[in-house]
Amino acid sequence: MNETKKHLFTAASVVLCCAATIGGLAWRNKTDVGAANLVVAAEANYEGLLASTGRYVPDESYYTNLVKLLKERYVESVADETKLALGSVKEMVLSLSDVKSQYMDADEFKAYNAEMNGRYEGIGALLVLDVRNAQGKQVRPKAREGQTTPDPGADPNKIPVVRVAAVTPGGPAERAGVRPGDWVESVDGRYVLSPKLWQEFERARDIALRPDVSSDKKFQIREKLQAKAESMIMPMRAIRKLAVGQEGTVRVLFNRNGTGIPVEINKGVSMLPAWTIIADGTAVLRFQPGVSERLRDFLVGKAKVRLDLRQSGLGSMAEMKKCLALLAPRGTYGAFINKRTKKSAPMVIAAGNERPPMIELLVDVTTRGPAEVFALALSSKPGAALVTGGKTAGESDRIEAFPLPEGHGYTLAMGVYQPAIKVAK
Amino acid sequence: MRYAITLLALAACFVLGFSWRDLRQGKLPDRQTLAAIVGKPATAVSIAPKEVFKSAYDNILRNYQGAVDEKRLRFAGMRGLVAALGDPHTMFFDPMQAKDFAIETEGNFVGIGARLGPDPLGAVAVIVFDNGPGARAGLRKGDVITAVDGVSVAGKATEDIVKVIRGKEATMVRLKIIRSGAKQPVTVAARRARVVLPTVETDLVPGTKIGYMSVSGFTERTTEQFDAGLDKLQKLQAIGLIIDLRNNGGGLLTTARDMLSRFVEDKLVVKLKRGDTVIDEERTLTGYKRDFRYPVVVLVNGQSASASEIFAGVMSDYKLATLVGEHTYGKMSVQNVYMLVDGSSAKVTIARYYIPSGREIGRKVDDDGIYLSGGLPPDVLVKYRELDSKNASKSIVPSDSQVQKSVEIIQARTGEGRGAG
Repeated sequence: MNETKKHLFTAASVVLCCAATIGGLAWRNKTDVGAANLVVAAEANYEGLLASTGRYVPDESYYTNLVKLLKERYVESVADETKLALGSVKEMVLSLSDVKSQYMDADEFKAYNAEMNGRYEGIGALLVLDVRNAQGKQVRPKAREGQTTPDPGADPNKIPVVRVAAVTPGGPAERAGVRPGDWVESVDGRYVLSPKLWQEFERARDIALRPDVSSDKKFQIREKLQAKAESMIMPMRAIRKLAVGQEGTVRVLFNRNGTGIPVEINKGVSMLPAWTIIADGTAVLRFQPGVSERLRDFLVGKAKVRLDLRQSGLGSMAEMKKCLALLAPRGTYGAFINKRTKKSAPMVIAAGNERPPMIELLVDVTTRGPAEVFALALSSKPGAALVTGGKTAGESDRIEAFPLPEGHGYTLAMGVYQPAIKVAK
Repeated sequence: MRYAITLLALAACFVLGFSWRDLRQGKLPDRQTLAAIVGKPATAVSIAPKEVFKSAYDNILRNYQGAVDEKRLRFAGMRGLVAALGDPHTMFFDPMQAKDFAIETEGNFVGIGARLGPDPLGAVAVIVFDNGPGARAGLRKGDVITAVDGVSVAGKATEDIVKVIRGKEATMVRLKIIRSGAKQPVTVAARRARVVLPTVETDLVPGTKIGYMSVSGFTERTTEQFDAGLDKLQKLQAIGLIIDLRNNGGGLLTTARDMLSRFVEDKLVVKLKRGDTVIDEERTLTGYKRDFRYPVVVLVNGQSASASEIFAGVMSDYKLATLVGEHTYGKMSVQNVYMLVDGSSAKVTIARYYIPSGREIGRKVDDDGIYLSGGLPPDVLVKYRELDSKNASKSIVPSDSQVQKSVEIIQARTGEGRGAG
């Protein structure tokens, strides 16, 4: 009997050991980290990517094999793969040709996140990209089109313009006389394409083609524009020069209603405060993290409130929702619509204020982003708020920021706010 | 005791199964992988580069609100990946760009045989190649094309107009033409044919016996066209030669070498280095040297690059020619083009070249891409200036300050125009 038991035991052990080995294999498959490596190992050289093989290469391996090709062939050693991956993300975001979806390097992303909290480096101004046509009128592109062209000059009807959307009170830009609405012609002598510059190029081209104009005159015009054309920089570059860094001086040529305004500004750090109460009791409100607490305290015992949403700067949709819940009863307040995927994300206040005070909102063309959504939401429910001032910016997209390695990041426009009822104003 | 051994054996088997994959490749499983046994998620301290790409790609496709196409997005990603190397000459071409690029270096395409320039009403025929389909159908230099196959092309970019004019071999294309002097628009119907782009054009400078050759590329056909041009000038008994490489962005290294072989035999053209290692050398061939007994000027400007710089630099290094004009672009690298499985291609810098004198001519730019330094300096610096001339439309020789200076230099050496000396 003991012998049989022993044999049985040994047999069972062997079976269990096999099971354990298989179990190990299976566990590895499940968790694998290694699977990706195996795929790479199988296509250890990049040859599978070359046209000569004619084999289909799935997207995953395409990236890997392209990197391998570069590592084996490029004139210098390719060590930093993260840099390559970041480059791929940058170009993908750029290919969207969307002023609202931007790729940012470490300095730019840091500055962006600081602006979210009201802290402004550089000249102390929120700079946004506008899309204008060659005559200078703002253009709102259709849903199917890209919003601007990556190649300035390629489409004269879609020229991105760098515009001041807000200035920090007492900050370098405000002290130098810069105002919201001003737009940037040049920074330190480097020109940014604008409708004005575009028209200059057009006029010069017309003159150059006329046979009655002397070649000397043509040469003169060409020289003048050559210098401008050769020194042109992309709009994001201009923003970087103005919004990043705390030291140094920049010479900027702004344009206000057709007049050029040259200024010299010392960069620094300044604040766009989330909350300020001015003399007549109006509260200047900006949707930076934490401001809902200030609003809550402010509302105590008030039957009537006046909120100033102008020069709203960047803001957080989440914080704006918290503030909305303090001022409006529960319900659905419109939705964010993704016109491409047709997905709709309703803005729902689950627990609101069932007895809100009388609300007056002060808005104008510098009211944008979460602040604009806030105003639209409140004004969409009849009687919820009195909105005075002027038309808002027309920039009520939900824009989210996504961090990347090495401090880089990108923003993506994910939907446009549609209030529940269209308001006739 | 038996149980302990059994448990140990079980554990060992489990680990063996887990590590089988790595062991087969001849290595031990790494720390990250082992962490997975314990159930720790394999999130490394840094995200794998491929994941950086993939998650952004997925995020954009899933959530972006504007127009976006999967394929184009992937092409953009690959383009950015390659561009991140920071080498302006290493790039990724999507299938359409790959095709265009191949046409450029091949030097021929199927079209009507004309070089077009921009015009507010469409495109103007700057050059109409002799014996090309356009010439045979009646197209003339100076004609302005306002419509192609009934569709107006006014206001379109020249390269887009060229694209609709090119097409399948032996197919017809109808062009509406405005011609100075003609009261009504003219229609020209041409049958598309394979056109060999003439990259070399040759003539004497009007009023002199000085030869002028414009070389606009270094393609597979350029050498034979260059030889034909030299033969033509020999027949015309030219006493000087201007080789115009302005705006010639380069092409095949072997073509430049072959052309240099007409001037000098079995001498070093360039050394090719990958990093610090010399991987190859090009030398001029033997047996092709021609008997040049006259002064040679090579014209260059800021757009002369690559093979142009090699040609000009070697001629200058061996004192075979005077360089006139403005400094060159400063591209000192060689690229290989790898055709990829989906029709895209990758043009990769595989080596840097060094001309015989070993001078550093690599281009340096600032953060905004504006030129800082680099390029071959000319022996005689002359800024470009157009000159009014009555002969402008009849001769291929341009009328500008740099050509004028070249003529003066040659005349000073040969004594031409100043009476026998």
